Amino acid sequence: MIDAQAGDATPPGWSYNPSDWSQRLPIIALAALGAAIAGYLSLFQLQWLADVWEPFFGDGSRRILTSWVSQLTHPVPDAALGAFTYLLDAVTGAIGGRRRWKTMPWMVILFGLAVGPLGVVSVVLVILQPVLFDAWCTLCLASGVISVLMIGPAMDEVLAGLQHVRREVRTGRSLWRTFWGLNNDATASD
Amino acid sequence: MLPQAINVALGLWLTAAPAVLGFGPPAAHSHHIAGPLAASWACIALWEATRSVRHVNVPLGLWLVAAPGLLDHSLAGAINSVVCGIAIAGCSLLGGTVRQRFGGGWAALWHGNAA
Repeated sequence: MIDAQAGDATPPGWSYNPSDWSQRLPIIALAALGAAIAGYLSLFQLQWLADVWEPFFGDGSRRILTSWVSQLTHPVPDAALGAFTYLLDAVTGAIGGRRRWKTMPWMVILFGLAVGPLGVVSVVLVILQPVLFDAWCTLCLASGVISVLMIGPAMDEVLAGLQHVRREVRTGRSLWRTFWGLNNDATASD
Repeated sequence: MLPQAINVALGLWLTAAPAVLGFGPPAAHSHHIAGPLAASWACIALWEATRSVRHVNVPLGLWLVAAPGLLDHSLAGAINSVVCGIAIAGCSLLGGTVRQRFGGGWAALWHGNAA
């Protein structure tokens, strides 16, 4: 993870660059997998698919995916909202170069805001499966695991972005311009 | 990292335990809520930049130790809750090795000087 070639791409005081592609690609891959799973589940919720794959828990997936909790976001299936958020994770994870923690802090922070709450909602939904419905849904659990796995590796980049904003503001720069990456010495992208 | 990995495993076990050991609510609810939470916090704490999240699992472990005294538990459920609670709280106290540097970490955002 320590990149001797990183130069000023590595944030000050860091031993690696959290915006490196080696750091971001695994998260983007997880988000794409999550989007595929949630997209499949939303097809069942939209009744475009008559059945849903459930290898372990009998009619568990059907009960969870048609429960009143899953209808709270009616007419949009809750799995479709999940799929959209996973796509947002993938897109905001992919946009920008290896210095994006300082060239576009807003994108890094938006990425963190998409990853964090998705994980929180997923864990709540996992807990509600047995507590409210005494049922388990295999692919919903898989989606929950994926969303939690993304949080840790995503947050280091958010930290680097926030540290950059704070550092610039302390030297008298505009919070607004720093957030959008508009300071002159930070606009070069690679 | 190892203590957090152990807590991920314990959280997953807690989630499965009511079905495996055969007990129902309210002990099952306690397990089904604490398990996914413990596993999730520990999973986030696996990464060095967010290792400090491990502390959240200390009160969660203490809850599991106290729960059999507050809610109706079967003997197996009570033993499982107390043993897992002690283990989770204990592992949460172990930070392990942090090899990377993070420019002063999260603390640099609200006090001191970011590097």
